[in-house]
Amino acid sequence: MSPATRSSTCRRPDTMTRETATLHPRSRAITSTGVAALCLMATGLYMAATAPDEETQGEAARLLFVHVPSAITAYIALGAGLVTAVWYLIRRSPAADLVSAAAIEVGVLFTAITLLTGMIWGRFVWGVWWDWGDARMVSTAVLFFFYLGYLALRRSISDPRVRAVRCAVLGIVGFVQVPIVHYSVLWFRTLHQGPSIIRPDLANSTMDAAFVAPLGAALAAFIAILAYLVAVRVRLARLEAAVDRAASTSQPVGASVGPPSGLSV
Amino acid sequence: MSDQPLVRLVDVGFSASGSVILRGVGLMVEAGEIVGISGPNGAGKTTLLRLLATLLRPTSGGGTVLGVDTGARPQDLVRVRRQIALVGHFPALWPELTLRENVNLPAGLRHGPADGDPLRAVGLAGVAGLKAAHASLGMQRRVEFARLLAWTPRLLLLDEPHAGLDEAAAPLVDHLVARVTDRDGAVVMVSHDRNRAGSLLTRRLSVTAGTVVEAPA
Amino acid sequence: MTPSAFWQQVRWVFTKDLRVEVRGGVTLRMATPFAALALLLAPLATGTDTALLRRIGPGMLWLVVILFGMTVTLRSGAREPGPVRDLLTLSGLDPAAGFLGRSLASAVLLFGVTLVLTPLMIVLYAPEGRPGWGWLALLAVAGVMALGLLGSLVATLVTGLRERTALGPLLAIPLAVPVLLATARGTDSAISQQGSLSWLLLLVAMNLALVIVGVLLAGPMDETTR
Repeated sequence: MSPATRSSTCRRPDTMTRETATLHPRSRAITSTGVAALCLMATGLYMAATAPDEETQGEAARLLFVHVPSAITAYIALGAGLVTAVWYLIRRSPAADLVSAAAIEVGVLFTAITLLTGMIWGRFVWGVWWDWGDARMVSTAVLFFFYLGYLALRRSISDPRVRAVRCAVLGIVGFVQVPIVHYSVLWFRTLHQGPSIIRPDLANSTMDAAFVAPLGAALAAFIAILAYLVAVRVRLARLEAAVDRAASTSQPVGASVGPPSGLSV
Repeated sequence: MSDQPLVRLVDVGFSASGSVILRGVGLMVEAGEIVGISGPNGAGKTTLLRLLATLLRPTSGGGTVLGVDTGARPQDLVRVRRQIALVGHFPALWPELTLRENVNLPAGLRHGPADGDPLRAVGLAGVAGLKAAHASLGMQRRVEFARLLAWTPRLLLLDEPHAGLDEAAAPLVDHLVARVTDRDGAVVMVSHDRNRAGSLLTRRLSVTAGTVVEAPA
Repeated sequence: MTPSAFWQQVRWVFTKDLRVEVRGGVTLRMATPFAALALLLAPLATGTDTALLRRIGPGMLWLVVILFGMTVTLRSGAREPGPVRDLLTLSGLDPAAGFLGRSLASAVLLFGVTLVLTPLMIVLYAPEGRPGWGWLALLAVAGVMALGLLGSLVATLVTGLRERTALGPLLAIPLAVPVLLATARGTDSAISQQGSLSWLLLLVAMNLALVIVGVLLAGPMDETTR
């Protein structure tokens, strides 16, 4: 729905027009980010499809071009969400809260993509959907559930200030806990000697240059998608806030409480 | 300090979850005053008391309570808060604990145990071992008054203090109010009960549609 | 506030919470039997393969302590009625002291639950090996402390929400994973006489992180609970 049609459904079109007027110019920047993301994605897909076959994994290795960029993008998004949460607590700027929420929401989406592609990859390469030996997979799943909780907390609180503070605190608690969760799972894995496999990982594989270029293109595409989605989400949150403001009267609640009426004896 | 009003609110507004509760509230309370607040249901009387108690912060406007800015940092509000007592609409009792524990426990946080037996003074000595969950609203009210016999706040905030109290207990409110005003404190009392509260008050205000106006006599 | 006044407040909250809990009796009369029931049911679900039960015993104990213990902690942290919270604030209670006192009280309760369930686990699952009791005690203390801190932090975040009973565990349990791994796997190591220093250090790090975050953010969080 375009901002213009939204404003017509509101009670106070004068405020809405002003709100949307301040929001509208940004939409051009958002649209160009979206177009750029599409172009990059097409390029990445083409390069991934035409990259040479990997020796041991065959076609399944092409999942690398989705799995690795989505994992990196998820980390970037969640990291940005945490930085903006700290920023909110220091400066109490509502914009920081909106950006934080948007980044984490999109980060959860990319985390889900990472988990799904990781599982599909595992099915092809190891023969199982889930490998308890892969510490990163296990700790990413824990992270995923933690952030689902974060999103649930956001939805449960209606007062914007209360929501912003509590979510920022939760974000920070999560941030200090994530490394501890990761190490605990890593040590758990070393106890349970996992299979030594070629992991979907940049660091431990000597990668052919033929793979680096498509990977780079795919990563650029994912980051552009991230930027686009976060920008759209922030704009949506602002419009929602504007709708809420317009829908709520500036009349105090008490002014609308009348005497009992229509009682018959 | 002594010349300053105990409460000075200027153009204070408060809203939560997108609803406006109070707006444009101006209020001065001087030492020795007993201010009565009335108004229809939902007008914002309880919110006003909680603003005065510094439990809520104004979302617009500001002022001072006992000389400290309403927007001050929590650590600066601590000293002020310890001089404020709020007897709210719902009793502040731990339902699992006995009436005696409900008097003694908060005393331990604020100061030492009280002199004498505050529960005897409010007529509850015989049921001191009763769990608060099993006490009536009026008994719970009396427990809250018993706590106030051990110390005297500078600013006493009462929300419907007579609700649930029987005739014999009504003078308790008068006594507590007099203790506060005798020591240069002030009382702000929300009450619909003109018969009982009326004679105490030095000033009447009315909260109507989110703002404070002088009430007709 | 002077340090001694601060610790006095911590002690006050700690004893108050324990007293309220003892009078209410939810942990003792309901949560602990329920957790014991879970220990009894697990072998019915997995089949009573003695060798398997021997292996999973310590892990089951801690899984049950975390799942049921955390609900107790979350409940007690979010239980105090609004007017009582107002009373504490107006009495000058430092939110950080409140956080530490509540966490300690929860830790003591959880330690009690663990003490009750451990003999039951040994009887039902007959884990093999001779455990290093010193390691087990250290792991248990560090583990319940971390759970207590995490529980009272999350309890503050869900205070006053209608969805708090469902939401609290979802927020807290993923972050309790290190406690599960450290206590359960650490118990394994202690039984096989390997020592559990790294697991213990992990729990200590977690406790430190939670204390720092909880104390620093107790004020801003407290402001949102009125």
